Order: sequence, then structure tokens, then C-alpha cells
Amino acid sequence: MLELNNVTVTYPGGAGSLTALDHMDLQVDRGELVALVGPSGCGKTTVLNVLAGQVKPAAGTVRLAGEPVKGVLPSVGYISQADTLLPWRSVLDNVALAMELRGVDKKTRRERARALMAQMGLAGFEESWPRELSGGMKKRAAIARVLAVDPAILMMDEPFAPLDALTRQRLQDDILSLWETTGCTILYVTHDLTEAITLADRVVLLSARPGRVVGTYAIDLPRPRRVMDVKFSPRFVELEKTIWSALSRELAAAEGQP
Amino acid sequence: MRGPKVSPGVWTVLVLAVLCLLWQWASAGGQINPFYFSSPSAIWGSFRSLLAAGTLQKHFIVTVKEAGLGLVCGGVLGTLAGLFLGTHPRVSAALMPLLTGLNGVPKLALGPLFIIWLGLGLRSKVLIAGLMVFFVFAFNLYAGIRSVDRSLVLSVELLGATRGQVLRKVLWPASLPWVMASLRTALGLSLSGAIVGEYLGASRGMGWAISAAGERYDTAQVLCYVFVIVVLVIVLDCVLRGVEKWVLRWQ
Ligand SMILES: Nc1ncnc2c1ncn2[C@@H]1O[C@H](COP(=O)(O)OP(=O)(O)OP(=O)(O)O)[C@@H](O)[C@H]1O
Ligand SMILES: [Mg+2]
Repeated sequence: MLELNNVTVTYPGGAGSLTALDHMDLQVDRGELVALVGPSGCGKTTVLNVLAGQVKPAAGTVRLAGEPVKGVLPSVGYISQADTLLPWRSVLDNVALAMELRGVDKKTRRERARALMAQMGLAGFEESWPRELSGGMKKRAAIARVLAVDPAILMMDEPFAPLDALTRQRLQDDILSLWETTGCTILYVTHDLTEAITLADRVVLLSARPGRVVGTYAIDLPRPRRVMDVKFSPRFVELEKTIWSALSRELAAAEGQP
Repeated sequence: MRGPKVSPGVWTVLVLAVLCLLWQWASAGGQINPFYFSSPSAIWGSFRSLLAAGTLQKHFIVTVKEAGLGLVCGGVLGTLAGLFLGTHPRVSAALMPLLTGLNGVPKLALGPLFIIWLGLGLRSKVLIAGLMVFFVFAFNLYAGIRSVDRSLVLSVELLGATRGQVLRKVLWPASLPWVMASLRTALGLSLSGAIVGEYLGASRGMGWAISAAGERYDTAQVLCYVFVIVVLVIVLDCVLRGVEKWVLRWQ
């Protein structure tokens, strides 16, 4: 479904260019939930931006559903690291935005947005401004906004990083049930290993910059999962130990970088 | 210990009233010469007679029309220019220094030229007012567009927005605070543009009336027009503030 082959990305910079990704290979199958982990600055966001057609690789090929990526693809829902609700629109109009851009008429899109908001636990906040929402609610609204057009692929960039542990856990459960019910493909970027193992079918570990895949770990925890059920299972702890030892090597390497 | 809340408007009126009383007392008692400095009662008197004769209304309408047209034309063109420059970095790299230079030209000094070109009537005043306003909008909107959060634009592009949609749904609403700020600055500018334009050459309007009264040493009438202008600006600014509050209620 998603495919990076031999992709190299370099950013021009003041002090010479910077290689963010170095001959990177990554494949995500249809319906899979893959978590991408790695030290900060290793190129995780860059991977998503390449897949979304926002960054052009210097070399290599990028394919989405078998098609080479050129430009922005509407079948991909991308939830970025930043808070990107439009502050001058009500939450409802934010959730309806993608439908509005596609010319869905006002009544239909408002109805659908209302239903999505209820599904994401945002009922009652339709007419609020984004600034009136908590961090967790903003993230849920951002997810609802993307879900409104039924994307076949969801890419999320550390969506819950700034949230408190309790909220994060609730939203992780939301992601799990969303994925179970819709069967969409999810590429999930995080630097939180516990989160990665909890959610994913497969955890892909990136090296310190320049990013390369240094390990892929199949997560054979039973489905359907709920955060609280898996977190304390012996298999979970075992997996966490294995991946952590590899990740900590990369973290050490990242520390040595300027 | 704090007294009951008094709105700032009440204080403004109070200060004004005290100043007027002092002024009246000083001119009546001979501390200041009413020939040069007039007095509130004389100003009020000339206000009433101008009103009764219909002269005030006539000049008022002329000036407001010139300033209003200048504000609308300069505002719309300046907004369009700012939007265009903000969204076309290569064009703006070439044109901004030019615009900055042009903005440095004292536009009032060009007034006589405009009057030669466009005559003593409405059009030359609209041009002066509009030109002063144009640069305010152009520069503010340029800065506004440039300061729009890139990640907002990106996220909306990723939802499938076309260039036009990005402009309409992100860039434009994001620059509305700048439009409102420009509008409030431009309000006073367009009025002074029109009035000074009339000063330079006209046959009617408040600027012309002021200069005519000045030539007659009629200080009461000069100050009467000045007060009308001050009150007009205060009222319009209040209205704009209300509009701004509503337009930017999301902030
Ligand atoms: N637009 C850009 N221009 C120049 N350099 C960039 C740009 N975007 C990212 N980089 C550089 O590329 C490297 C990888 O960045 P990226 O954002 O992909 O990291 P990340 O893994 O997402 O990090 P984090 O976990 O902190 O979000 C970083 O060193 C960063 O400085
Ligand atoms: Mg990142």
C-alpha cells in the first residue's frame, strides 16, 4: 500500500546540505498498522512528508497504492505534529473542511461532521472555537477532520505527544477501535516505544540521522487490543526490552550528533 | 478600595467638559485672547449658525464622500496588491523596494500635481486619500500573508485544497486582523488626505471651509470644523472597533 524504495532526502541548509533519509526502504501493507520509532531528528516526519508528496526525495521511488507519488494525494489523511485547526472556524466547520473543499453541500457535510464529532466524543462542542478546546479535544477534532473523507491511509505524526498520560491512553484506544472498525492502513510516528508496541502490528525502528531502517519487529500481541490489557502482559515487556536495547543504541548515536 | 466601575468613555467626556469650562472661563476673564483662541461658546455659536444655514452639512458631505471613496478604492487596491505580493515571493522581491521608495514620497506634496491632472473637484481628493491608504493596506497585508502559519497552509493543502481554496479559506481569514488594523489607521489618513487636498485647491469641503475661515480670521469657525472632524473620527473608530470585535471574535 505504501512503499519507499531506496529513498534519500537531503535538505539544503546554511552549513551545507543535510541528509535526513539515507537509502531508506519501508513497506506498509493494506490494512496494516505500522509504528515508526526513532530518535528525535532522525527523519520520521520527513518519511511522512515524502509519502504525502510534500518533500521530493533526491533519489529513490515512492509509491502509494502502487502509484508513484506526485503532488498531494487526497486519499491520504495526514495528521501532523502541529496543531492545525483553523482558529477562525468553529470546530464543526473545521471538521467539515475537507468535505467543503470537495464541494459537498452544506447540509450533508454538517450532518456528517456532527456525526463524526459525536463519534470522537466531541458532541456539544460543535459551535466552539478551537481555542476553547483542550489539547486532547483538538487532536480528536483534527482526526475527525481527516476521517470525514474516508481516507484509505492515515498517517499520524506523534499525534498524542503533548498530551497527559490518561488522555493519551484514551485516544490510543480510540485509534485502535477506529482501525479495527474501518480497516484502514495506518502509519503512526512516535518516539514513545510503549505506544508503538501497544498499537502496531509492526514496529519499524529508524537509525539516528541520517534515517535508515535498522530493525523491524512484528508485534504478535492478540487483537482486538485495549491499552490496559496489553500493557502488563509478559510478551509486551519482552518486546519492549528487545526493541528498547536497539533503540537505546540509536539514541546514544543521536546524542553524539551536533 | 475601589469605587464603582466607570466606563472610560465617561472619563473622556468628563475631561473634555472640564477643559471646555476652563477655556470658557479663561477667555471670558481675559486670561487668553478670544480673537486668537476663540471660546467654547463662540464655537458652539458658529456651529449652530453653520448648521442652520446648511453650510456645515454641505461641506461635511463633500469631505466624507472624498475620504470614503478614497478609503474604499485605496483599501481594495491596497488589499489586492498586498495579497498578490504576499503570495508571489519572486514578484515581491522585485517590487517591494520600489513600493517602499514610493511610499517615502510625501504624498501631500504631490497634491498640487494631482489637482493639475484631475481638477479641483472630487477626483483629485479621492486620489490623494486613496494613495495614502493604499500603502497602509498593501504593506500590512503583505506582512500579514507572510506571517501566516505555514503548517496551517500545509495541512489544508493536504486535505486537498487548490491554490484558490488556500487563498480563500486560509490566507484571507488569517489576514483579517491585518485588514482591520489597516482600516483603523486608514480612517484618519483618508480624512486628512481629503481635507489637505481641499486645502490645496478646491471650492467646497471642510478643508476648503477651514482655509476660507482662516483667511477671515474666524477662529471659531475653524475650530468648529476641527471639532466636527475629531468627533467624526472618534465615532467611526468606535464603530470600527465594534466591527473588529465581531469579525475577530475567534481570537
Ligand atoms: N524543511 C526542512 N529544512 C531543512 N532541514 C529540515 C527540514 N525538515 C527537517 N529537517 C531536518 O531533517 C532532519 C529530520 O527531520 P524530521 O523532522 O524528519 O525529524 P523527526 O524524526 O520527525 O524528529 P522529531 O521526532 O523531533 O519530530 C532534522 O535534522 C531536521 O533538522
Ligand atoms: Mg517529527
